Amino acid sequence: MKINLIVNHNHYDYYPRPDEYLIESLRKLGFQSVKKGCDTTSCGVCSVIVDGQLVPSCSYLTSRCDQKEVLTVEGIPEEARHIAEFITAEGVDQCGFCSPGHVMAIHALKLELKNPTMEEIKHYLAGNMCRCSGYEGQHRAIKKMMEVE
Amino acid sequence: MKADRIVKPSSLEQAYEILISEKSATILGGGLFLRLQKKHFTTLIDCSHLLSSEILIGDVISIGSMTSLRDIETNLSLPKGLNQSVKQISGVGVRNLATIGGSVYGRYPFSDINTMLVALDATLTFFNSGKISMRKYNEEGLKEKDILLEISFRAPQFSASAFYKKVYTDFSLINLSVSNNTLAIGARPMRPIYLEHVDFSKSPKEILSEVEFGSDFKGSKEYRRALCEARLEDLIYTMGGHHEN
Repeated sequence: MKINLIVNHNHYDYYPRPDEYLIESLRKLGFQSVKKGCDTTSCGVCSVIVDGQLVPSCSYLTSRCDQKEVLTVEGIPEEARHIAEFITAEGVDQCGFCSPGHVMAIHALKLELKNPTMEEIKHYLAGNMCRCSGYEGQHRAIKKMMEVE
Repeated sequence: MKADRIVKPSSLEQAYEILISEKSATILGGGLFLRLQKKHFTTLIDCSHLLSSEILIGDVISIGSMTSLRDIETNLSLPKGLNQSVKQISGVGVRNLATIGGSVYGRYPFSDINTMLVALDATLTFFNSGKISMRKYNEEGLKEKDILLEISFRAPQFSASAFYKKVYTDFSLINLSVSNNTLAIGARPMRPIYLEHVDFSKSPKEILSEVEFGSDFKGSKEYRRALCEARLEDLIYTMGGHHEN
């Protein structure tokens, strides 16, 4: 089955296996920012945006991505740098393994919610785990970033 | 999960034909629970282009089976209890993928939304089997595989949902849903049950006296009963009762 996979606005002719998930396809295509964490839909580390919606790429069948717009951190370099500056300023970047998924979740949050409350931010990001930080620093960073924009 | 092929049928008739002709063919909903299973499917049937993901609001509310849990969470025209029931099912990304059809068809006993749909006395519409009560389906399932098209129910005057999770995004240890004067309890850990014509002026202990709870690795039946009584008291308080002492 051939599909037209659109990643960060570039088109790829791709032949996924029937049971191939998007994380595997993206990494094969060189999008190494997409990390494999729990591989059971629980941690949010593999989060990408498909047609404007945040999804765990470990559980999204690639064959369902025909003609869909997939966005990874590589597709939003300026935005990713901007978010990272706020996160590092709070000292919560640490190991960085969860950062790409976290950045995509924050990007999706910004697309979806205008002027979110702290409670809404925490709720939105609850599916993105970080084993280094205690989340408070991340939440402070996001709140500061959203306030200054 | 392993699969030999994935097909996108051109009609529901064709999808149904494939579904019943192959023993290990299955319909893809959101695909999340299939993903976690150690099963080998001959054929995955992707009907997402044929099934509705629309929510129609009226005296009778109908929800297409491909509607995502995130859409149910954020559609504030739906009964409040239904919004509440899905809001802590994993994270936003998962709720964007998970569908109401997948949750219902799987009859997952831990499902928060299934408990709410039992309380709402929802009606399920299947491609071949027609209309079946959610309560009957929940108990008995179907004799043959089928394709779930729609979930519908009468808009309640009041609805609310509560649960207890050890971690914010975890499966519930217990969940409760109220629709008018019907109370449903799920994740007992058995399938949801319901009590009709509940007198909410009674204490949670009295209301739940006949309800059976079970034990699993997450918690004992005694613990579940205690949690259920506490969360029911919270629900009754949101309805304007109890909590005086």
